[in-house]
Amino acid sequence: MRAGVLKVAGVCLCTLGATLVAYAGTRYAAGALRADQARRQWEEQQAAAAVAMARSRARLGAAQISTTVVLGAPIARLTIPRIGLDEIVLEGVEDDELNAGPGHLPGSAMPGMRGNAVISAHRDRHFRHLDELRVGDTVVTETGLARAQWIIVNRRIIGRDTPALFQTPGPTLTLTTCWPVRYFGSAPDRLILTAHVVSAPVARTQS
Amino acid sequence: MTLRSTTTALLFAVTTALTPAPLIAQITTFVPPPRKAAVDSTKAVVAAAATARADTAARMRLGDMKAWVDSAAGVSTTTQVAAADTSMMPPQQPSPTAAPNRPSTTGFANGAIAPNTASPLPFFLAGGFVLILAGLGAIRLARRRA
Repeated sequence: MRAGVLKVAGVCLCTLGATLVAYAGTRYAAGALRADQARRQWEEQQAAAAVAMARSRARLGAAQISTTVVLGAPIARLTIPRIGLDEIVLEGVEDDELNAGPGHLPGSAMPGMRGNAVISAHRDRHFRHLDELRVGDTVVTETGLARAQWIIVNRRIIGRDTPALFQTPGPTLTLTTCWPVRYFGSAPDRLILTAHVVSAPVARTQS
Repeated sequence: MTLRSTTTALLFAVTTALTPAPLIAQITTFVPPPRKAAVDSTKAVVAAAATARADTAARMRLGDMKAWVDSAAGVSTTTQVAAADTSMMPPQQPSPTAAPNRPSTTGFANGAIAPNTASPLPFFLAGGFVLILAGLGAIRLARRRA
């Protein structure tokens, strides 16, 4: 009788564990597939955007070019040489976007444009080496509008409920993830890296 | 026949006279109150709100007067407003006991908190493996005992 109960309990535990592992594996796989798809979309967009941008600039002027993007769309390429990061940034910071890649916070500036551009990612995924960055390291962003090189000027750790994102008059890039990076459970803090643009963003059509 | 009806009437009169008032009340017929004339519901609501507000203000004034008298008499008091009264206050007045709204983490605003980048997937993965190991251990133990 006791052996039978133990066997049933064991089978139940195995089933539950396999379900959890399968769910997590499926989500990771879906994220990887979505990231690949985003990269393909990004490359296709770049080819089309160069032509469209040149036409728009000629017709409307740069100030009138719309930067409205839909959630989940690839909006930029983020490169951080020091940690070997090269990812396509998606619009939005919901689960689906962060599962596929770094997310651009809706409402914040586009990288390279005037204002604060906020990019966030999971600490166990795309930003798992973000804690290795120090003040002075460089970051490169490419959008359909401009390519910009940034230098990290500030690194801080704050509580999860502490106001951290503010409007800035000039181009600013803010990278955020959970802190501690290696932590089991819901991380209590956030790692915030602030970068300033090194030189004036170069328009994509001129690069 | 006449004698019997007279006796019955007499008995009824005596019984009625000796019965207590509450019992008499229970055998009286029910007369429904006159129906009120239909009124404009909007006007009624506005009037009710105005009355309640006036009552609240009067109660506050009375409360303040009582507090003033008590303070003059050297008695420590605290002014309290009933819950029903506070519900009639304008909605823009913040309640001191209300929990502050947590700012959104999925849109940018000046002074916003950083996005929530916590993911439960590593926890699910590790927990799943632990459960599988525990299950396999239980099955093995069951086989050994069987």
